[in-house]
Amino acid sequence: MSHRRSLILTVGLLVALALASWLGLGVEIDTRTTVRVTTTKAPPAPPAPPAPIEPIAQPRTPLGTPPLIVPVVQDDRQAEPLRFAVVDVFIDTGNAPLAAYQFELRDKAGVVKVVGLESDKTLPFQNPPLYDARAMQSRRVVVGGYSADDNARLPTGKVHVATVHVTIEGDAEPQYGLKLIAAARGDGEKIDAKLSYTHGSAP
Amino acid sequence: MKRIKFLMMSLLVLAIAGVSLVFIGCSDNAGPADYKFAQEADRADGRPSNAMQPLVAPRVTSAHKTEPGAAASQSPRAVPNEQVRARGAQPFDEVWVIRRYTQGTTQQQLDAARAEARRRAEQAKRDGLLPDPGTGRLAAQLPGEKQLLPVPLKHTAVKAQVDAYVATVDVTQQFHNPYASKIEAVYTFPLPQNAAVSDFVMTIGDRRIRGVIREKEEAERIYYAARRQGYVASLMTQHRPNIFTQRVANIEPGKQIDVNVRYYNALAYADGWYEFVFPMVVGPRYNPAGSADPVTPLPRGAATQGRNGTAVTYLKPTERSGHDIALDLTVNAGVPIEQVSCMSHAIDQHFDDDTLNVKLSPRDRVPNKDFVLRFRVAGEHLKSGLIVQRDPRPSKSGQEEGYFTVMLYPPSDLERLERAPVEMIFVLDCSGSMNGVPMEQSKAAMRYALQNMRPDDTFQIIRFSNNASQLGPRPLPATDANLARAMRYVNQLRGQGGTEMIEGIKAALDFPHDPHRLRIVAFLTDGFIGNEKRILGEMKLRLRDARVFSFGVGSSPNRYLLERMAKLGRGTVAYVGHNDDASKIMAAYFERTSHPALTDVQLDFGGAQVSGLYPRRVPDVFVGRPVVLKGKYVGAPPTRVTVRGRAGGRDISSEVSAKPQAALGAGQPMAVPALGAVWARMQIADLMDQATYTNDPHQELAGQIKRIALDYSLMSAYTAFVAVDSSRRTEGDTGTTVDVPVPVPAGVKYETTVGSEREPEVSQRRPAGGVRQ
Repeated sequence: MSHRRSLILTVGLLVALALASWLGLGVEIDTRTTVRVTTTKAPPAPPAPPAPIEPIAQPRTPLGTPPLIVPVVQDDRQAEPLRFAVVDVFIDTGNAPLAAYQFELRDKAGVVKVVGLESDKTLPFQNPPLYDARAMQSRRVVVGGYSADDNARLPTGKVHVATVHVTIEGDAEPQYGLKLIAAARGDGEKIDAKLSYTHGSAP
Repeated sequence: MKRIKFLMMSLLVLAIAGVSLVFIGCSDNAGPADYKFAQEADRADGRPSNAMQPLVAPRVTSAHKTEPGAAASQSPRAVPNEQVRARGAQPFDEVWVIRRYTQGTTQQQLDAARAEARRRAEQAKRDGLLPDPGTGRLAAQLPGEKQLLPVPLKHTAVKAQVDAYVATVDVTQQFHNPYASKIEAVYTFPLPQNAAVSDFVMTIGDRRIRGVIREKEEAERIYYAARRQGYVASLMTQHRPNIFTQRVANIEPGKQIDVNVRYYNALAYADGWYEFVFPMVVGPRYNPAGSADPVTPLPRGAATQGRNGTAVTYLKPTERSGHDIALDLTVNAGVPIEQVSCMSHAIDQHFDDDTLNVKLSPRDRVPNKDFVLRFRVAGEHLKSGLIVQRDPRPSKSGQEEGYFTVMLYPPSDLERLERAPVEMIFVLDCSGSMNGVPMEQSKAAMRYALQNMRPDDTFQIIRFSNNASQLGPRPLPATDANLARAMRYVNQLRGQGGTEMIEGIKAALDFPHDPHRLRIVAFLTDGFIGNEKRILGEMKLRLRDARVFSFGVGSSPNRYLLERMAKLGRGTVAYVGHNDDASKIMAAYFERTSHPALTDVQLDFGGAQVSGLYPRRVPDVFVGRPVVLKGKYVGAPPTRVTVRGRAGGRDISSEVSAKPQAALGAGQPMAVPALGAVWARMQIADLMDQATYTNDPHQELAGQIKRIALDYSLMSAYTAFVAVDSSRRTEGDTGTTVDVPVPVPAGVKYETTVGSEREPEVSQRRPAGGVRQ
C-alpha cells in the first residue's frame, strides 16, 4: 500500500514538474532538497533598462521536449545572499569640457548597496569619486567628482565618469534610477549634459 | 664605525657584507594562519643550515638605535660594492646584499653562491667591516609552498600636513603577495586615539576605489561575502579608539594592493609645545582573567583565528620584518616656528619660509615606537583663539552650518598664585612590560617628584603588578626621613608579573583621605592592558573629588587609556619617552600643579546659535595646559567668546576673538570638513565614555554613535570602512590568511610580555624544505 502511494506521489511530482516547465515556469532545485517555483515573467518595465539576464539554457530531449528533471549546478553566486556588480556611469557633455559633476543613484527595489567608487583611470580626476555620507543613509547615493585642470585638458563627449561597485541582496533584480544633478566646466559654467549607464556583474 | 644599509626583496635571503646567520621559526600547523617564518642567510663557516632549529641567534643591529649625535662621530667606511651605492644607499646605512633565487636554482648554483658569500665575508673582515650584518628580514612560508618569502605588509607611507593645530594625515599601507597562491593579509595597527578616520581608498595597480562607511556588521558581511566569491576587497575595523585591523582579501600572486586611510586630529599643546604623534605599533597588552574583549599578544606564527577579541602577533627580539615606514610631515602653524624637537626618531628637517618640513631619516624606519615631534611657535605668551570652519555640505536646516574650536589658555596671573597643600598619591606600574627602560624612566621621574615635594604636602607610593602594595598605611608627611624612605622604596622596585591595574586603582582611590587636602593621584604606566573599559569604570566609581594625572611611560604607551584616565580625573596627561628627560617632564607637572587652576569655566558665545560643545564638562585649565573645546554652529558663525571662571578664590573673565584660518576653510564638496570630522569624533568619544560608565541595555548610545559616524563618514566601534572591486573575480579559492607580525615596542621586553605565551609545539613543526638545505 505504501509502495503504491509513494509511486503515485513520485509520478505526480514528476508530472507536475514537467507541466511547470512546459507552462514556462522556471524550476530550481537547490542542494538542500527544497523546491522553489518562480515565474520567469518579466517584471514591470523599470525606468532604466534592466540588466541583461543570461537566459538559462534549457536542455532538450531528442524529441524537442523539455526533460522532466533539469540538473542544477550549485553556483556560489546563487548560494550567497549577496551578489556583486558594477554600474558604469557616463556623462555626455557634447563639446564642453567636463570639470565637475554630481549624480544621484537610487535603487527602487531596495536591494543595492554601494561598496566602492572608482573614477576612470584615464580621466584627469585624480581622486576616486566622493559620496555624500548623509544621503547614503536614506538609501540613495549622491556621487560627485571634480578636476582642477584647465579646460584644454578636460574630457569632452561621452565621458565614463564613475564605476559604482555595488552589492545586491538576494535574488531580486535592482531597479536602478540615476539622475544627473549637475555638470560644469572649469569656469563653473553649467553644462547641458546627459547621463547614461550600463550595469552588469563579473563573469 | 659607519654602516650602510640596503634592503631588497628576496626569495631566499643571503646576507654578505660580513658574517651570515641562520635561524628558523616554525608555526602551528593548524588553522588558516598556517605559515612558516624563516630568516635565512648563509653561514660563513659553510656548514649546511638545519631547517628544524635555530642555529645562530643573530645580533640586533645597532643601526636603527644609533642616536644622531653618536652616529655622526663614527668614522665612515667605503662601500665595497659600487652597485649597492648606485642604488641609493646612504651613509650611516647598513649594507645588505640580498640575492634572489628562483625555484629552479640548482644545488651547484647555491654552493657557488655560498662560496661567494664566504669570500665576501672574509674580504669584509679583512677590510675591517662589521662582522655582522644585522637582523635581516622575516620571511614566511605558506603550506604546500617551498619558498620562504617576505610577509605581506611591505611598507607604510605617512604624509601629514598640520594647519594651525589640526593635522590631516594620509596613511598608505602597501600589501603585496610574494607567494604562488592567493592570500588574505591581516594587520593590526595603531592610530592616534583621537583620530577622526574619514576616508578610505583601495588601490589596485593604477585603479583607485574609494571605500564606503557602513555599519560594522554590514561591512563585515560584505567583506566576507566578497572574499568567499573571489573579489578583491578590504575592510578596516576598530577594536579600541587607537587599535585598528586592516584586512585585504584575494591578493593574487605577485600583486600589490595599497590601502590609503585619511584621518584628522587636533594636536596636543603643553608647556609651550605643540605635539604631533604618530603611533607605529600596538604594545603587547596584559589581559586580566575574564577580560571580555581582550587584545591578546601572541608569538608570530601562532594561530589567531577563533580567538576572543583581537590578537596581535609579535616578532621575537632577534627578528625584524621587512615592513618599514616613511613619514613626511609639513607644519604650517600660521606663525613662525621657533624650535623643533624629536626625541623619538632621527629626522631630516628644513624650512620653506615659515613652513616646517620633516622627514623620517632613512636610518630610523623600523616601526617600533611612536613618532613624536614637538614644535614651539613664536610668541612667549600665546593667547586663546577661536577658529571657525563652514560645512560645505547641504544642511538639514537650510541654514549655514559649521564648526568651531576654542583654545583656552590659562590667564597669565595664575602663575603668580600659590596652591594649597595637597595629598599626592603616586601609583607605579611594576608589571613585566615596564621591565627595563620604562621602569628606569619611571623611577627617575619618581625621584624628581620626591625631591620636589613641599614640606606641608603629604604623599604615598603604591606599586602594582599582579597585586598592589604600598609604602605605608596612610599618607605620609613629606619630611626628610619619609622622603629618604620613599627613595629607598622606589629604588628597589622591579618590573615583573601581570598588569592588574584595577588593584592599583582601588589602592589609590580607596586610600584613607585627608578631607582638608586636595587628593592628586599620579599614575605612571605604559597602559599595556586589554581591559580599559573596566579600568575606567572602576575609576569613575571611586574617584570622588580626586584629580588624576597620568604619565605614559615608554616608546609606545596606550595613549587612549592614559588620556581617558586624565580626562575622567580632570587632570592632564604627559608622556615620558625613552629618550626624554624624565625629571623635566616631572618638573613641568609640578609647575602645573603648583598653581591653582581656572575652574568652573563657562563660555558665552553672544548671539551665535551654538550646540554640541565638547568636552561636555569643561575641564579645569592648568598653567601650561590650555583646554581645547569644539562645537557646532547654525546660522552666523561665532565671532567672539566670553570666558568666565574662578581661580585662587576670585572670579576671572576674558574674551576670545575669532581668527581667520584660510587653510582649514578649503573643504572638498560633499566631504566632511576637517573641523567637522574632529568635532564628530569628539562627540563619538563622549558617547563612548557614557557607554563605558553606564549600562546601555537598549543600545541607545550605540545607535547614536552609529548615526553620527555614518553621517560624518567616520570610523567608530560600530562602523567600518569596506571597499570591494566588483568588476572582476580572482581565480581559485579564498587563499590563506596571513597575519602581519609586528615588533614589540622599543625598550619593551618580549620575554616579559609576549614570551609568556606558549610557543608552537616542536612536534607540529615541519621542515621548511625547498631551496634551504
